[in-house]
Amino acid sequence: MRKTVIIIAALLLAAFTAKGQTMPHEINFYIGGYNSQYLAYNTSQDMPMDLYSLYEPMYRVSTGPVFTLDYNYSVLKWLSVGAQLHYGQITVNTYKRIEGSSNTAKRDMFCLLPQAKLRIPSPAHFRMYGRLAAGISYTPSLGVGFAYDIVPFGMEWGGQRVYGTAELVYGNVIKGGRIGMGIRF
Amino acid sequence: MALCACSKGYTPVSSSDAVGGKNGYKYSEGKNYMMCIVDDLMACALEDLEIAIKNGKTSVNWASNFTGMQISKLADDKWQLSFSGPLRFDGIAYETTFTMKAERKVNQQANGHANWTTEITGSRTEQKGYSCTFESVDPISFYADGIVNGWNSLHGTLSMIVYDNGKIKDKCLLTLDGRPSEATFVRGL
Repeated sequence: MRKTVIIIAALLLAAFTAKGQTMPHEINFYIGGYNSQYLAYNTSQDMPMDLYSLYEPMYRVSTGPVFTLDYNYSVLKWLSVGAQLHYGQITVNTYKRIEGSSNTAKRDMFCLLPQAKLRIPSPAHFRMYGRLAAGISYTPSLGVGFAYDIVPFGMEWGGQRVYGTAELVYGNVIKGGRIGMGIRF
Repeated sequence: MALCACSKGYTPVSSSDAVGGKNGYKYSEGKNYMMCIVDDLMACALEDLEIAIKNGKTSVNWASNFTGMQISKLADDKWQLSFSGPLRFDGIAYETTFTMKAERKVNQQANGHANWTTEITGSRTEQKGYSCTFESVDPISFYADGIVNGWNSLHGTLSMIVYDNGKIKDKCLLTLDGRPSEATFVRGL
């Protein structure tokens, strides 16, 4: 945990002290989705036949579309660091198995994830990248949880200043894909 | 629906709802849990007892959920079973200990099973501080009608006390009076 904090702090420090990059700032807005399980507390797919899962509330949580705003600062030609903010509505099914009852409720969900974006050498108008992000999520009634977001492959197309973007995503908030647009300055 | 060792003869009443029906499920799964004691534990142990009697064994020394279970003959047609070890209900295997007395009432029906009257006392220690004790309040009888495999008629009462970190959380009662699906479950006693 301490190691992770030190690495994140070093990357953020590097971001603020970097020099020499033209248009080092970028802001992207995405919409993403594909319904996925969002892991919070006591979530269970299988709900085994045991006393804990009988007597404690079990939650099954799924996400709908998730809106993402992210900011990156170019530290090196191939590396940017920053953070992403997610907002989405999630559906929480609460099961009380011992009572034989369940209910469904919609909740707002927010996530804040520091991230590192790695650029892959590619043509000027078709730029490829990957991204790693990990942080926290917050959902009223479920509380704070761990969130991660991995982009194994993403691409930007268009000009250097304004561009479109699409990426594949694997995480516990979204599994699937995201599309959006960004500006660099 | 008949009880039959290791074949999950009893179908939980709410299994289809539990996977997320639109209206949720309507039955306490406490009944399913206690039926696991009757089915996965008692009926399966009886089946192993029948195998042991047939082969003149005094312990379950073959691959079984009850490997290591000790069998002692108390009288003609009366045995005592003792087991301590991990036992799986529907998912995770937890440490389970029980002693069951079984009296054979009618020898071998057409389906190969005898009719039995049993008395049981036992406990189970599960994850996150949860545990339970269980015992038969009235003797529990297993009747095989010879048509289907296993035992398809049950009579008797089983009680269970649930503990959360050593404190009593719930007291439950399962009353068996006919087919397994017709068992009644009461909690919060």
